[in-house]
Amino acid sequence: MTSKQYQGYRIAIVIMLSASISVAISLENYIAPVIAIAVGLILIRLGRQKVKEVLADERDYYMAGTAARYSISIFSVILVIGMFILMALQDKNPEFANIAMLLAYLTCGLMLLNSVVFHFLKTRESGSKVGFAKKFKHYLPFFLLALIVAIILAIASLRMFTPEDEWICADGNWTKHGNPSATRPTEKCR
Amino acid sequence: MPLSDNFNSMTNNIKELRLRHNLTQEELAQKVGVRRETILFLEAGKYNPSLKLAHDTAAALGVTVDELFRF
Repeated sequence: MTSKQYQGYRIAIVIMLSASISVAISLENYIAPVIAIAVGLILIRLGRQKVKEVLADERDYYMAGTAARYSISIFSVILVIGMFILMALQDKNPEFANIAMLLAYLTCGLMLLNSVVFHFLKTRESGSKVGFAKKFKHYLPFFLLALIVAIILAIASLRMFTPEDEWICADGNWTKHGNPSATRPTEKCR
Repeated sequence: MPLSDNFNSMTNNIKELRLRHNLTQEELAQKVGVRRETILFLEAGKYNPSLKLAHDTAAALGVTVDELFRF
């Protein structure tokens, strides 16, 4: 298979995958998309093995690394800006606060994952006798401590930023939670 | 990994040697295990190769790295 044929093959798989996922979701079948993705990945991998030409070389990997670095930076900035906008708009809809918190933790998760992968690669590339697993064991207590602090901060921030005084929809009726400044919502409570 | 981002400081005679060996960019790319575009960028001096690629290119063209690249 040539690289051009492989590109066509890959596009065909992606189209079929998208179609099957759309159909499965519309039929409310959520296991089929997982199977479809797994099959798609296997087919792409098998197709790639049949290509004799070089599909990617060091220049592509260098550009991919740079692209990933820019993508992470841009994505993080967008998420953080989105978080602050949603925080500012939480009076309009209390749900915005939860979405904002989700964005904040997604950003932290992305940064953390990037840092872990970077240090893994750095350790591997440096040829250090102290392997990643050993270093990981060494830093595990600090990591667990940081995780506990993060969980405490998450609970505290949710408690702080989630509005206490609001109208809650319960059993088909709007009921006061605390002392909301807004008037009773006009939309139907479901 | 590129050795430096300062592309202006390095010149090469890959194209001249490639033509002397009657090789196309595609053939040289196959010999050194990269894509044709990489050879194109190398010849234009728009990409600084890794030491391995520089060595492989020099070997494919029958010269040393010193003879291929000039800083």
